[in-house]
Amino acid sequence: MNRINPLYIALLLVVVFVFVSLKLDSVQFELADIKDEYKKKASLTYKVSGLQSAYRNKKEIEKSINLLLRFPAVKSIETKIKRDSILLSSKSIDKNVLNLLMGRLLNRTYNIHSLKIERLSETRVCFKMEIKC
Amino acid sequence: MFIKFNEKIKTIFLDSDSSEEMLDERVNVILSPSLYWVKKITLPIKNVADAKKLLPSIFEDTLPKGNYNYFVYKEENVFFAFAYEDKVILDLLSEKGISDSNIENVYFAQSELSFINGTVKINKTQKICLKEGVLILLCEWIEDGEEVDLDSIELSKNSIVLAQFGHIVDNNSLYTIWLILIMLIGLVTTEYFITYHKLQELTTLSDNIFKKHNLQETTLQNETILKEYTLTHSKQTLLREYISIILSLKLKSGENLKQMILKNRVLKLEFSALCDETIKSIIYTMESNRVKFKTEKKVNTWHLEMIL
Repeated sequence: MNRINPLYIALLLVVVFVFVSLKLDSVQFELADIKDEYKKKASLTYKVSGLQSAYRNKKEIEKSINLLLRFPAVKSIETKIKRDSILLSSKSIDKNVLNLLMGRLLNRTYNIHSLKIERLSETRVCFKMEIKC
Repeated sequence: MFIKFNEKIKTIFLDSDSSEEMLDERVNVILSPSLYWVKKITLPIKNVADAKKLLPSIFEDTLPKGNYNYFVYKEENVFFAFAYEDKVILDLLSEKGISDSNIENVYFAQSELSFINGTVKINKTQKICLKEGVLILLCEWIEDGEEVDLDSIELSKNSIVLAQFGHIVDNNSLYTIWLILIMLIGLVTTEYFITYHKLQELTTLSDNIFKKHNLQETTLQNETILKEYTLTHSKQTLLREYISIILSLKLKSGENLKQMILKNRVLKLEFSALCDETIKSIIYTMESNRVKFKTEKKVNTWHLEMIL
């Protein structure tokens, strides 16, 4: 008669089951919260890092501009690298060459901060551009 | 504690007609033959465990309706099979004022008093005797025999455990419920640990995501940076759109674009020698492309300002 009543053990198991279920529920709730937070952070990260690599990656911008200026036709373009920008300028450049260069510059994601194109003659123009990075 | 260990436990005979017993000490209970059904049988099996499985069918036709528990023990080659109702015994015990916690063990009179010879007085009012090996309770009017001292009996190992809720749910169902509950607990616990592990992994990932991509530490700082970049991106897209519109303009011979300046988010264009028709065409193009612009006409030049 001193044996533990089997019904009490069943009740204990029910209590343990309820306790474990509640713990699971709270952890699942926490997981859903952290999933939401992670999704928001991931979306923000991809947007910021994507735009950052396009507009603030000085090394990459410098490298790609150097590649653009490799052609002999654009040799007259002077490049000046500042702390947070790159200056491209030419006192006199052929309008067709400038047309080609502008086509390439505008098709890249450079942050063009300032630009000046002035007609000098029928075929020559003066050009100045500041790219922020 | 040592004294308590050696303490002799009182033995009582439980019957519905026995005198009231209000006991506040631990007792061994011997059940009266009126509280159980017994069958002395010979079976073609050797083990008590095998015999146990046959008990419900052995009593099937004999017992009145009720929730019975069964017990069997073997004496030489004969099996003594018992059927009893836990609730009836427990109700009687509580009626007699004996609490469950005070009961040490419960025995059948058959197993404990089978040594008697002739009629024996069990208490002040009741007598028992052995008939063909089965112990029976006798009526009061039968002449007295010698009295048996219950406390001096050496009790056997054939004790039973009374199930308090046996009438509500039988032990087999309870064990099934146990098994189901243990399996459920196992499943839920496994799920808990898997979820907890996922939570920890995701928390670490979430905490390190900015660091991994060389961004600022907080969400707020990064949101501010995103706003700044988004503005830059929209202005740059607009600049390219405006330049594309400018390049699509058709000027007549002698008309030309003298200068194009981008400064402080304003794109300024200076045209020379434009006729009115060309100016109208340029304004129409700007309006149809929904460009915010300003114009100014000077002596020989025409200025167009586009705001980014």
